[in-house]
Amino acid sequence: MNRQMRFGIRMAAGGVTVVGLAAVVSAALLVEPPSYRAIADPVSVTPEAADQVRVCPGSLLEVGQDASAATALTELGTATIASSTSDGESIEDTSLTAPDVGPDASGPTVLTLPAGTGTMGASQIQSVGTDTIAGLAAAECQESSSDMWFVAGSTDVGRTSLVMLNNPTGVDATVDIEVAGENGAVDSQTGLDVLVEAGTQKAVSLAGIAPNTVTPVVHVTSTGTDIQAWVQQSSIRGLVPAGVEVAGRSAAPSENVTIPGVQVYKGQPEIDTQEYDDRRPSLRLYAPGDTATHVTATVRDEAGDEVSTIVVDVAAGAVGEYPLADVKPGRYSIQIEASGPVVAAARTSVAADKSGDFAWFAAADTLDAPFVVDAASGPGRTLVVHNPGTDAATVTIGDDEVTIDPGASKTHQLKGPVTVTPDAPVTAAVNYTGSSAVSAYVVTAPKPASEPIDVTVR
Amino acid sequence: MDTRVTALVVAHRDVEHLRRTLDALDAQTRRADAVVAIAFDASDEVRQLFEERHVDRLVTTREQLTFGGALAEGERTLDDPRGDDDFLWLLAQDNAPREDALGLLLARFETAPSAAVAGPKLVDWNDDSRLRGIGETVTTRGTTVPFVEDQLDQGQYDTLSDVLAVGSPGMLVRRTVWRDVGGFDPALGPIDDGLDFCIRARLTGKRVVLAPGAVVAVSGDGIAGAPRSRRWRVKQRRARLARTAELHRRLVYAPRVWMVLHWLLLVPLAIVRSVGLLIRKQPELIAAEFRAAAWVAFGGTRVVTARRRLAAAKEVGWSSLANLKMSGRELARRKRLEREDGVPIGSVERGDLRFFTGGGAWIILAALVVGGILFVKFVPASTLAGGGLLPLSGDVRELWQNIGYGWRSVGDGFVGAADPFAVVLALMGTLTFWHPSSAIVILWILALPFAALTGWFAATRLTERSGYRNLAAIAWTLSPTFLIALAEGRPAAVIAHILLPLLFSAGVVASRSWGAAAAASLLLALVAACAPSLVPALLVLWLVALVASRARFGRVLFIPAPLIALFGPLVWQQGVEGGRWFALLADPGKPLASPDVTVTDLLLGLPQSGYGGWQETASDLGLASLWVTNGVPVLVGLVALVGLVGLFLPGARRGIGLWAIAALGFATAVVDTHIAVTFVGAEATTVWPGTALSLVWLGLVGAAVSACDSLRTRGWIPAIVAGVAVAVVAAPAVLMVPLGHGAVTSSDGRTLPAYVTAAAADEPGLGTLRITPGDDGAIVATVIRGDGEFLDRQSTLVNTGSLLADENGDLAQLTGNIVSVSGHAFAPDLQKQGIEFVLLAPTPDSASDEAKAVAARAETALDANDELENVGVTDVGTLWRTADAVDGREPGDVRSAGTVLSLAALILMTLIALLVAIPTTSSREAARMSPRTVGSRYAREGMVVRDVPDDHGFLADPDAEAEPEWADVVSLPGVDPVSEVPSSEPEDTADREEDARE
Repeated sequence: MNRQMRFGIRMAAGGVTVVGLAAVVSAALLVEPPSYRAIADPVSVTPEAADQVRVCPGSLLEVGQDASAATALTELGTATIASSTSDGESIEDTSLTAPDVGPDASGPTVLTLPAGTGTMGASQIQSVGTDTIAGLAAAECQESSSDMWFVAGSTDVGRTSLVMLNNPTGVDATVDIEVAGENGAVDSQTGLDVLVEAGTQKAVSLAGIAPNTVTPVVHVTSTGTDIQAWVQQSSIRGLVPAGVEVAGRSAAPSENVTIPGVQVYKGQPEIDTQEYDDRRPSLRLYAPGDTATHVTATVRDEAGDEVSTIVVDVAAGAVGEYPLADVKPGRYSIQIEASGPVVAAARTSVAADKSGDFAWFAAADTLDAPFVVDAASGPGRTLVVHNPGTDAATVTIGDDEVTIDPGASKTHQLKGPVTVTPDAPVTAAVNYTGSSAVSAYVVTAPKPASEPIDVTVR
Repeated sequence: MDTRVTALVVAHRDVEHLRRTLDALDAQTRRADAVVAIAFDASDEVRQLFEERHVDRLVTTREQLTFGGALAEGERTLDDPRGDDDFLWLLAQDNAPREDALGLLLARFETAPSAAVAGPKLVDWNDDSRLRGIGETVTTRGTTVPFVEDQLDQGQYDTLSDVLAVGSPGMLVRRTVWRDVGGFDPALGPIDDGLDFCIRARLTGKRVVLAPGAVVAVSGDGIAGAPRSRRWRVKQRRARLARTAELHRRLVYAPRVWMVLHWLLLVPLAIVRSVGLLIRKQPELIAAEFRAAAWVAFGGTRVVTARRRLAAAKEVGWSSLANLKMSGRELARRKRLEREDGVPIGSVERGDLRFFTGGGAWIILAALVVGGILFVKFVPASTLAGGGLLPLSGDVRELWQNIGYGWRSVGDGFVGAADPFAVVLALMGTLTFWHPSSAIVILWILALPFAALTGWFAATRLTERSGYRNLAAIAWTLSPTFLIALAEGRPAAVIAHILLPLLFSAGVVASRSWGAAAAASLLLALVAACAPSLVPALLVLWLVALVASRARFGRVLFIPAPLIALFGPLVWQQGVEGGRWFALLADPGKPLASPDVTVTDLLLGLPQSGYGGWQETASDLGLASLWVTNGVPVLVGLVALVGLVGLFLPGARRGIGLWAIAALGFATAVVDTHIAVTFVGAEATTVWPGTALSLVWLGLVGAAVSACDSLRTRGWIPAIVAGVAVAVVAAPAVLMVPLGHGAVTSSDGRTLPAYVTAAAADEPGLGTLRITPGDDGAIVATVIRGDGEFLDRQSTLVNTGSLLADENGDLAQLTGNIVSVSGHAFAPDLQKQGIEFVLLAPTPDSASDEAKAVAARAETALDANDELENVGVTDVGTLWRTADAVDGREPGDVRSAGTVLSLAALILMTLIALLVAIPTTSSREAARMSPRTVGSRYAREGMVVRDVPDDHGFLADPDAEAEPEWADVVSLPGVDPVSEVPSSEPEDTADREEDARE
């Protein structure tokens, strides 16, 4: 009996245990126990507003004006600066030194607006007329950046391009200049690790980096601090100067690129040959990367109607320049859609008896905050505001309130500084149209105020 | 003149004993002339009995009196003694004399006129043939030595005549001597009162004699003579009284100068003796030791009065007692004889461990080889990094400074409790004191053999069969959660897995052995330090053990003491002050994200999804995933099935216990996955369930092994099935590290760029602000002081966010501005914080777009900052330094009461546990006598009978049978001192044994 009882108790205990275990397991599978999760409360830090600093390109430079010093740079006069703010705050202006040019060089201007609620707009303009360089060059004074694309320049025969690197900060910058041409990327060590010291301007000849490149695209990256750069291109045909332009940066590579305010001038130069001529109105495209990119460029007029379309496949890593054929004189905007990121700019020329000029129209980033346009006085200065979006935009230009249809552009004759307030992202450019002096620049936004950022301290 | 005997009978409460005593008094051949009864705090029945028996005088009192005190009360009521022939017979309620006792005692006085005290032979109340006392003496140093405590009466002491002292029960004393000497010392209780009286009587020049023919039966009530009950409280009281008496007599008998010295040494001596008690595994007597020392030191025994009493009656010098005292050598010889008497001939003790012969050593060796092959790339490494591994501080001194409550130099630095894990790391680092980080490398390489070793030893508690022990070792080593912890770099989990079987093996026998309980307490503290999430489950198991140990709960009660001392500061700061009780369960060490896991994975004993690596392996090998999703649960189920079968076999009790452990572990694992308290960056991550799964594995493997053991020889099939199942489940996990899926790599021990460590070598307080972009576009800022992050400086107070590392938000503002284009002036802030370097952690390619955007923003802003110079890109990120030199922040040196208190408590607990855990000869003997396995179906499993020892050498020792030398000196005329020299006996015995064998 004792053994049987022990056996029975053992079976019962075993059975109870198995049932208990099964209960635990099923409870775990079916019941969701309450969870406890600790929450970190990060501190949301709104960075203090920084001063707005806009750098101007400075006066036009000529290489080898004196034949005995073929690589020396000479300043050609001084540029006229125009700047104003939206709320009337005063702007400090300082200049950079230009040791390449010389100890007496006036150097580019740096405009500083102390941190506040206002915004600043500034630009410079310079007109030269020497035997070797003649034309009108206008450029916006822009905030610095670390990564810039310049779809401009040429190191063909008779074309001189300079890359001007302006460092307005207190930290030295190390700049890499990479050039891609019509045959692909140009492998050159000369443009790498260019040291631009704090508060100086350095001008680098593009011919030293990419000689004999007809359609270069310049990519400037800086480490150490942000700088501002321009590509100064001057052209001479035989003995006749054919124009000068200071080209600003294009929008960063993207699959949707807008070029506002492209003006095809009335006095188009006569071109007999079918071969490449850089006086033709053209669109220069470059797709950084390894794959060929399919690009559709739509040329629209001021009303937003489609005038012409260019559909091309841009080879990987090579720059392509495509003529804007059958486009009558007027003001247009070019909308580019690509299968991969591209950079683009358009160039048109004007011809006169003895000289000519050309203008580069860079791709523009959208502006959605109120901005100030202060174009230095020059012939035919016009502000063009273009709506790249799909909905109509209402824009207040100075005192006028206008509505811009999708794809359309609005022009406004400038008589002085004007504040533009858009209610939707728009692009804007300023055009100068003279009889033989043309120039253009894209209006860029100030560096965005840093967004508040959540910081957790551990 | 006529002799006149007055019997003084002292009674308390025991009526039955008193009745027999009074009957014996009535039955005396030479009756006492008067009987005076003293009843102190007596019950009514005692008083009634006295009244019935018509005692000549009855003195009652309500106080609790000692024997001496009661006798004094009684003696006071008597008239003055007429002369030398008046005697007092001292009896307690449980001293029943034989009829001729008084006659024989008086006869002794006739033959020895100079005798003052005569004592009878004391025998057991119930058994006449057992001697309970016959005379006492002291050693030269003063320790009481009774000649007999419990021996068979074979007449061996019947020839004793003069002794130094006799015990108080049944003592016959001349009344004049009683008056001269002043009676018993009232401070001495039932212990040593007779001894002290007899010594003082001898110091007046009188003699103390024995009358071995007079027999008095004693029961050990505790009135006259030490109480003999075996109850715990009585044992404590006896120890305390004995020690009090010894100390009191030491102070009273010593010359004045020595008395002062002895008095000063009382308490220090008590401390030293307590340490000895700890080593002898008798910690329950420590209280008695201290109480006795305190009582005597603060005058409770009235030493001065006793000295005065002694000096008043003393007539001869102490040297007259010298011959009667026992030398130390003699005492040692007596003790040796006693011990040898106690050795059983032909004992039953536990069998051999069979570590080498049973294959355990081979398993360890195999594990060593496998571990070496798997981790061969770590062998030349000096430090390991990756996963949750960081280097240890370079200096052993720094390691030990990082424990307890004090300055924590992590982050901004604060005063707080360190993790208990820092103690484990300090211990490990001290083992390789030349380069503490090597300890972790060695741990990784030797992890598999260690796990096999501890698993094997734990299995010795469950089974005696080598095959099943080997199964347990293999299964414990190939635990998937252990292998995953090794691959992922979780040092705390690896150590916990290695130590858990040792905790099991010590804990199951804790109730029967102080050494095991102390070892279990230390191991519990270490395991809990490595895995705080196991503490609730372990405490539940402790409570169960407490209940199961019933009467012997004292040892089990001690077990959590070091744990409490170790966790005290952290529990205080995190729980009591901060109220964040869940944060106490956080894993220690470097915060590491716990991967997602479902309840099904936990059921399979896996701490992450992927079936322990089988899913990846299956897809690599091209197997259908159906094989994996069904196969792995089936394999684990097989092991569980073997364990479940054991529930229905004999020996099921331990199976139930082991399954309870597994269930507790599983519940802990499930709860762990729902508690997220540790912050990795800005997100809270759950407690890693792997350590709880180690507990589950312990229960599972233990149940399987005990089931196989219950099946005895037929269990080899389930054992092999279980072993193969475990090996198959663990196969991909084993190969994780060699195939490169593990996160652990060898490193050079730097967590910050070399530029920073070089600068910090001169100024250790320099700070580096490390900015890590998070996946949601937020950033995490950490300040690292000195030359890098170290594992022993990690603190759960910071990692669980309990301690605000940045109270007024200064650091957050600084960081937020420094990663943005901002007009903030940084130099003064950086100077104030003592930060010279800014490190931007690299963003992996798999990071989200927001993280990359924040990283780009930060890099641009930091580059453009003219107060910072870009030093360059290092493998831990991009480094900037301030343009101006910055002074580092000195570490705070806050020593508060908390630091000292917590450290003192920790050291005290650890020392106590270590002392009790040290094995002594007697504790090893006791352990040998007990079975090694626990709870098996046969209670004496594994016990073997030792051969009968050879007695030749024992009996041939002439010393063994010789009388002590002092007996030659003291002898009565006419009685020869006994002197035997064993001559021909050894050969006879040997012949007889050989005959018996043939």
